Amino acid sequence: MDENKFLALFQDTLQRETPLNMDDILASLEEWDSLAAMASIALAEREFSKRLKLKELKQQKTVRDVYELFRA
Amino acid sequence: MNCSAPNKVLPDFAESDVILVTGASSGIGAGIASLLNSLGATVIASGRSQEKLNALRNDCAEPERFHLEPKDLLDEMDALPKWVSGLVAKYGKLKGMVCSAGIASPMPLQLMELEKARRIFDINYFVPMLLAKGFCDRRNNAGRGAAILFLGSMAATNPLRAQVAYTGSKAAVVASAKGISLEYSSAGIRVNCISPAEVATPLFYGFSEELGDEAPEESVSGRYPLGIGSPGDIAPLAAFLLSDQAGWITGQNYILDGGYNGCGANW
Ligand SMILES: NC(=O)c1ccc[n+]([C@@H]2O[C@H](COP(=O)([O-])OP(=O)(O)OC[C@H]3O[C@@H](n4cnc5c(N)ncnc54)[C@H](OP(=O)(O)O)[C@@H]3O)[C@@H](O)[C@H]2O)c1
Repeated sequence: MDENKFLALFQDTLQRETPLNMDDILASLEEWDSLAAMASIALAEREFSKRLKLKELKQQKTVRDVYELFRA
Repeated sequence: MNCSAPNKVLPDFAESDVILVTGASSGIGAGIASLLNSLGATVIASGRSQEKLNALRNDCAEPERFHLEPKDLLDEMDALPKWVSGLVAKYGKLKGMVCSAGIASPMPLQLMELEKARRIFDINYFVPMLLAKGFCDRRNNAGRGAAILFLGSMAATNPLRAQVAYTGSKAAVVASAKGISLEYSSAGIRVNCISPAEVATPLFYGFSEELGDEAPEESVSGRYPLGIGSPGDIAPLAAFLLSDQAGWITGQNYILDGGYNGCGANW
């Protein structure tokens, strides 16, 4: 999956109105909370067939880190 | 059914307060939708019958703030959150949502059939949950101060006979409402239930008729010290719970029962 498609899907997962950038810091996003993290784990499973632990996801700093984690 | 504001105790709403009401074509939902409209809110009224919705709009205080969205909510249930997003694109972000659409038909355990019981759960439980999912999407609600109101039923705590599936569907709504209130309180979304006892609406008369009761109001009047309810008994509390005056109330279930639980047993 290319970066643009991922950004659109991740934005939708966060239920966010404004577009995301790969360098956005997760902690600075108003939408980044525990429910959003759970929804992101479901996204990883659905789109990347990747099973993640909440702890792994919470260690990521930027949107790009999440993308790389999903693809790894 | 026309519930106009009886006095100044009731809250005011602004035109920008857009509130979706399901089950607005009849009974309790119709009463709530017209009261909200008379208090200033912009109402999106949904129900199956276009004819009944038209009649309600003709009677309401401010028809230009009363939008009709006829729909069978069982059609493409999975897509209900998207339907909510579509309404938001058309009318603006939602300040509130009232889930009043529901059905009841007598079903004692002995007569329980999976398909019929599932239909009751679909419309009474899964539809409101999927609508709530759409509402709670942060792109769809007005943020802090947005509120959901579910119609539970006193049957959830005090079931009458032949209500096995209905009572379960309503108990599930009441329990899940608390769960949703917990998940979304940090977003400032409040979630409450009103659980009425018997209210004189087509649902009540239909249920009684199926049970073979020819004088239903008479049969039940003995249960309620204040008599059987009317939609006008429910709408004012609904308006209050959706308003900012109820800003510190979430996760609650209000039983409106004409005195049944308070003094009915000794009446
Ligand atoms: N009346 C009571 O004694 C009582 C007591 C406790 C709780 N409640 C609850 O209060 C709520 C309202 O009941 P009510 O007494 O006002 O009943 P009602 O007069 O029969 O109204 C039911 C409403 O639900 C709508 N509806 C039903 N199935 C639908 C579907 N598949 N798709 C879309 N809309 C659908 C109906 O639309 P159409 O008419 O256009 O088909 C109608 O507007 C229900 O959830 C009920 O369980 C009622």
